[in-house]
Amino acid sequence: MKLGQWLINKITRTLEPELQDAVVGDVAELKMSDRRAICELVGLVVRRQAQPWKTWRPWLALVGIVGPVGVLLSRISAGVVTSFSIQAIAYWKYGVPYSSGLTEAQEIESLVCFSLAVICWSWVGGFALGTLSGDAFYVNGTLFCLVWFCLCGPLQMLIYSARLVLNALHLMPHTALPHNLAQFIFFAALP
Amino acid sequence: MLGEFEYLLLAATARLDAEAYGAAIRLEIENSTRRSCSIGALYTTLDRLEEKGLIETWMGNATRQRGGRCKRMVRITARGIKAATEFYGAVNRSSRGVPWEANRAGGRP
Repeated sequence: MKLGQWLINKITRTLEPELQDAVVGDVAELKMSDRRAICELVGLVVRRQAQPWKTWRPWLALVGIVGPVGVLLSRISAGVVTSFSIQAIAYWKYGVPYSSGLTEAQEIESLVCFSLAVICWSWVGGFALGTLSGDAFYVNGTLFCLVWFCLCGPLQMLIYSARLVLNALHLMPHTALPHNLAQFIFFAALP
Repeated sequence: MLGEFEYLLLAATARLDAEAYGAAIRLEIENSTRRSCSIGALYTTLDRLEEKGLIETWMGNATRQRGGRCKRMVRITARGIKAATEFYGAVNRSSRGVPWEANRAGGRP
């Protein structure tokens, strides 16, 4: 399949099936070039995504959930990941647990409880976001994932995993690896 | 009161009658106004007019010319005819006695 046709299919997939049929049929009937069709279809998708934002509900979801809940969840999940990574690195490198003042059982218990809490609150946040956002769910959902991902959560997990592997393989000194997103961006920006 | 594009769409739908569907309406508007009409503007306006109860839409037959895809057929309702008539009347009344030729840019003293 040609790239243009592939893009057209991908773009129209965000539309309702009936509208998708009508629009793709119009494009074929009018014998539009792929480039023009893509531009016009993107315009249609943007207009349709902008429609729900005329009401207050998506805005409330954005200000009330995406911002505060997204940041809070990412910080908490980052905390969980950090404590897990510290333990993992200590076990891997020195064969002993990192002493945090808790017993091993307590350590595992707290990790499981925190993980479950993060999962539950993520579900509640997602449910509230979906209910409030309505048709603007795709935009708010993407922003929520970006906030959650960029402000530590899974990105920090990736960075720590990379630290763990590179450390174990003695490819890079421990201190040369970034600890968080800010450091990661800082190092990436270095010439 | 209707918007300009809403009126153009209603007028094209009324003129095409039983043959009114997305691509045909678009061509009708482009031919009558000599301006391009995007798919985005067309379908969002169709949705808005349908919400206002000024038109009705349904899925029509598929044709080979359209790659086997169905048409979104459009029909103007009684409310749509009334709204378009009112808009046309308002434009006519407000234009009466206005010498557009004399008011062209550069024509003022």
